[in-house]
Amino acid sequence: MKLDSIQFTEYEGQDREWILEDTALDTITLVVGKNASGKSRFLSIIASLGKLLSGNASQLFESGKYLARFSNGETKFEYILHYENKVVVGEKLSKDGDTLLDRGKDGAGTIWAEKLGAKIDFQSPVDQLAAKVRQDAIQHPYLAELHNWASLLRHYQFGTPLGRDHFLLLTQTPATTGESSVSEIVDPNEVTKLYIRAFAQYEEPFDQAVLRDMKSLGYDCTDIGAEGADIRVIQGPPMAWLFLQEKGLKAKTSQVVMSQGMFRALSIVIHLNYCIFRKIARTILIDDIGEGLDFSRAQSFISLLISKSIQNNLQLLMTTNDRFVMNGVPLKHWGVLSRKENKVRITNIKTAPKIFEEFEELGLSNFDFFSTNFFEEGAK
Amino acid sequence: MTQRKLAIFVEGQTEKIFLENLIGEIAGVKNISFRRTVVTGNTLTILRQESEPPENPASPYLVLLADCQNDERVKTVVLYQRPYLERANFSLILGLRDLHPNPLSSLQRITSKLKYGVPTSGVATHILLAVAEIEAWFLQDQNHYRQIDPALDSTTFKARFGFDPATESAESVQEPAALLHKIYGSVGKAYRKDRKRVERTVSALDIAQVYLTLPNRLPHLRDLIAHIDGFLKAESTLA
Repeated sequence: MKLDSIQFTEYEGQDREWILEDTALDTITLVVGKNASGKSRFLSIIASLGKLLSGNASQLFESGKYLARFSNGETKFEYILHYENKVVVGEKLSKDGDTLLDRGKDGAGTIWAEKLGAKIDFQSPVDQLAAKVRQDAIQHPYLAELHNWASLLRHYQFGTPLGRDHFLLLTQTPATTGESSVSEIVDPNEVTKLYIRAFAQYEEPFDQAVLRDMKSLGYDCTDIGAEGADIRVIQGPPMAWLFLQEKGLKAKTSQVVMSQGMFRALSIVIHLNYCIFRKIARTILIDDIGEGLDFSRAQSFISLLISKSIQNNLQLLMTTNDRFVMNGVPLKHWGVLSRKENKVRITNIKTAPKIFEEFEELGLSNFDFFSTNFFEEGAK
Repeated sequence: MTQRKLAIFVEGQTEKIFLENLIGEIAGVKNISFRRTVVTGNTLTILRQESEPPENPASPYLVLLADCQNDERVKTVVLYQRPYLERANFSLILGLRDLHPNPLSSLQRITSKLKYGVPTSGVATHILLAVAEIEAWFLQDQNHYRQIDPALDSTTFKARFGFDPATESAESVQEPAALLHKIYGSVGKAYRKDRKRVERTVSALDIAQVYLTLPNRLPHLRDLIAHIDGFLKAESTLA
């Protein structure tokens, strides 16, 4: 399932009201914007919706009003969720224009029951999403589609260590815990654990895929693996860490001595390949993509992510203010985020086709589209 | 005692190789020093070849050739580098871009936008077009085909390839590089944008004809040559 658009309002009607205007999203969308314009918040809004729908949020947040549209092939879903003071005040799901679920602030509502062929009344807790608590594969199978999108959603913040400072207790490897390979590893920092699971499931082809991708980024390596961490470096109980064997070096390069940029790239490559090997369509969010990578690696990395996502039916939503990343992504994938007071708008080729076409003919780099504010007014 | 300096930014090595030959021809006996550079992430890196004579600060003319390696748009690099070049006393900056992959029908629209964003004061700066791409200029030179292969008879091209270099303008060809490849291919040869093949074509060109005659049929080549002529005709105080 793919997220087609998102609209969000927080603290509606109050002084601290903040609005993300209705934003169309493509299979590949790169959101660019100045610092503090709301790029990270944009992805966090989507990630939060995912947490709420998947049940990964322990409780409702303070305030929020979502309008999210999804598509699964030809089928279109529209989901509206409104909560205030950690209580749901409205929730509605429709499929191809037919309302399937509708509830109000007291938790009471109606829901379409597939097997019964009728709408039935229900009463859900006021602080719970009906779309979550009413899961029923027989009567409400459409809720599973929403839930799947949410539980498969991944959110990576490229400017963070992405697991470089996380090691895996040897007593907690999937082999030792007997953990099911079906349960999702959601935490981006659990990359060692994810790698061990991926190798256990897909063996050598998984390693080769990771090594191929790393090579395309300029990191020429002959081996990747997880091994017991050096106890002189990591004290305490036995731990595992990731390593790469770089071509031309005698010693392995463990995650603690990898450069931050190299490890971030490795972490995303492992996560991405695991998604691809599992052959499940999903939405992936990457904030601040390219942060910490040099010019050529940033461009190679973005090209790799885009081509793999397109080939493997992944929806990739990213943010950046990195010039090299912007120049590496065709404008048709762009969304330029701008904020006026409390309203955030994303301009893309669908909302301003003439401006995008006009810019393509100027012979300037994509970055100039953003840096000259061309996206707002076109050529004066 | 000032050296006159010209900077030309081009999309790739094809244009760079061609311009070196063309400027060398135009300059004739004038003592020109070339500075070959590549652009990486908007920065200029001086490219030195082992066989290359060292840059001569006593030359009255310096031509900086910047290969944008198809990574960065020429105009962007020109605008980024312009203040630095002005500070270094360059008297003319040219950027040469292709029309391709835009269609020929967009020529007027794109031409009207070439000046967009280019400052009108300070060092003279012009963005020029090769229509549809620089290979049009190679395509137009009917004398070079025999140098590529004696079996290539340009008088037969109209019937075989739909283009007569003796009477038509190659600026009306939508994909000049592809047509050149097709023509070379008819005798089992190829035109590609790798250094070896570009050098083969450029060294086969009748550069005197390119300079003196072809501009009559290629207005965009004429613009480029007029700018280079103007630069070289102005006296350097070192000359």
